[in-house]
Amino acid sequence: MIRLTDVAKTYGSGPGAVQAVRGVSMQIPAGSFAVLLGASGSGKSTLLSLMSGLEMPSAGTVEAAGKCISTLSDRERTLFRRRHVGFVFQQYYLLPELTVCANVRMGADLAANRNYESIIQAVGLDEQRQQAANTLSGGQQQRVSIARAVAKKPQLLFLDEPTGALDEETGREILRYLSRLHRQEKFTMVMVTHNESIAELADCVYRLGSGRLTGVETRWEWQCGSMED
Amino acid sequence: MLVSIRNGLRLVGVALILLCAAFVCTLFLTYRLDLAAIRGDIEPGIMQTIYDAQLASSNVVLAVTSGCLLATSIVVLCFYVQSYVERCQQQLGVLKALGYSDWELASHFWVFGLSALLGGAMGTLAAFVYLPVFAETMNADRLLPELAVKIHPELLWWTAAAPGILLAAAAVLQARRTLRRPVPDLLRGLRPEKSVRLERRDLPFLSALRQSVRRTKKALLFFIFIGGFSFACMMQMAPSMRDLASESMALMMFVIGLVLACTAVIVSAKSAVRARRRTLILMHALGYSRREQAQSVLGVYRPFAYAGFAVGTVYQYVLLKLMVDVIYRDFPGMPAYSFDLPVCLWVLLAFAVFYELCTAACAREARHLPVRILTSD
Repeated sequence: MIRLTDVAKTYGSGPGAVQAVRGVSMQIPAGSFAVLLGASGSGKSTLLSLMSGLEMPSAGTVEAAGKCISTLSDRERTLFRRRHVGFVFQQYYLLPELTVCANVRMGADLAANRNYESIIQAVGLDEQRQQAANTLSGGQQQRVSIARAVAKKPQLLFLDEPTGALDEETGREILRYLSRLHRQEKFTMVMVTHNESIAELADCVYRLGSGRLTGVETRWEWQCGSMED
Repeated sequence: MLVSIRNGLRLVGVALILLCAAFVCTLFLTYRLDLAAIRGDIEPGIMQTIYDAQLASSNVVLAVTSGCLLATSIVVLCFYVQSYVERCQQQLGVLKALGYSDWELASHFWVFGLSALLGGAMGTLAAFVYLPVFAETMNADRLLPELAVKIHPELLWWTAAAPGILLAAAAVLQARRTLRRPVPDLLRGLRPEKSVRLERRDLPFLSALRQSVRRTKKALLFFIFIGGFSFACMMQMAPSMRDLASESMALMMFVIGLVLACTAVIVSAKSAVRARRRTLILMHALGYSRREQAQSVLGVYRPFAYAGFAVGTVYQYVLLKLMVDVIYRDFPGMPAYSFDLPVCLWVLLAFAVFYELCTAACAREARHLPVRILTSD
């Protein structure tokens, strides 16, 4: 489970300070697929950074995978991400000069996962395994990025607009793969998007606006909530 | 405009290298000119031998110092210009798309020659101030007639203006060369990365990354090598020069060696961290420790630093042996010269401490890289 209690995040200080997240309280059930939905600048990516331990909140507490990560030191949070967290970014952030195999091993080696070749096969890039990442198409690069994240065997998978830089068809293909993976591996998956159609696939949808939680929608029996419920 | 005079003056590394070069070259050029003026007063015999030896050693120092330091400053400048263009490539891509030619954009990079001009001018002026002390040191035994130390202001052209013009031209040419890429690639921020062929299929990620770091940005390998080379060469020559020449020559070598080594190592380490900024942030996000990050990006250069040290040690020994056994062989009272192992070991220890402190400081800087650039907000 991921639990946020009255979390806020402010960048800068004084009159120029920007409040990216304001007093958000929510919980995401373990094993669910949650979507953070909102327009650009609504604070959804900031919230993702806070949940994953990439950044510290200015106020409030963040709990994930049984730990209160908002009280951990930088070194402890790094260790937390190493053991529990996988990331997929909108811009892929592969190492362009390294091969597909080396990029996937960037995640696999952290989990001592020797099964990375089957993961590369599962994302359909077996023939491109020794190709440099910068020679791949956008969709192929995003699949490498997903393989890298999944190879870490994470409990928590965070995705920041994973289809944002892709065309509609490729984006749908990526989402189908992610859904299948989520059902198989049963990790908690949190995705940031501004696309309503993607939100329809999620178990829980958290709507954000101006840094605040403006609504929570649940499907099936999932106990998603805003903590005020 | 993307490139301003302020950018040109920020090249502290180039300015420092040329300051050292101009300082040494001005001293020895002036001395050489003043020696030429007293040629008629030289008597045959010991005086003639000493005179010829002083001329020959001045020529050697001038050739080696000006050649090496000028070449190093050009390489540093070209590397900086290439990095600058790559950092601003999207903005430059927009300007190219609007119709500016490569030459029009590259011509603005002449400002990077200003650092050379400034460094050269400061070094020359410092040498003018130090000249009387230098002339006194070179003739401490009074074996040559008294030299009338003259300041030759025209030397400013050779030690400041000419290098400034040369480096300005080099900056423009390097910028032109780096800009010669398709506009879409510049706009997309694509870097001309080379593929790394893995030697074995199952190379672990950190090994693959180290291999990639070694194979890209080869100029950094050169700078780190020069850092080790300068440190070894000058720090070991300094004590020898105290015995063979004077305290002030020894101090000059010590300072120049330290300045060059610091410049080369710090510029390289900072550039390595900057070039791999995104990689380091990504590694941190995924959970790689600070130590793993530092080892895979900065640790790669360590062997080259120590290789430079080894070559610098050999170089200074051969140079001094040449000076003592060939150029100054008939100089009266010239002490014998042999390799000083204890000095070499102490200098090696000092270099190890210096190098590890520099790279640790740069690794610490990497801790403050913003993680936020990875997210879309």
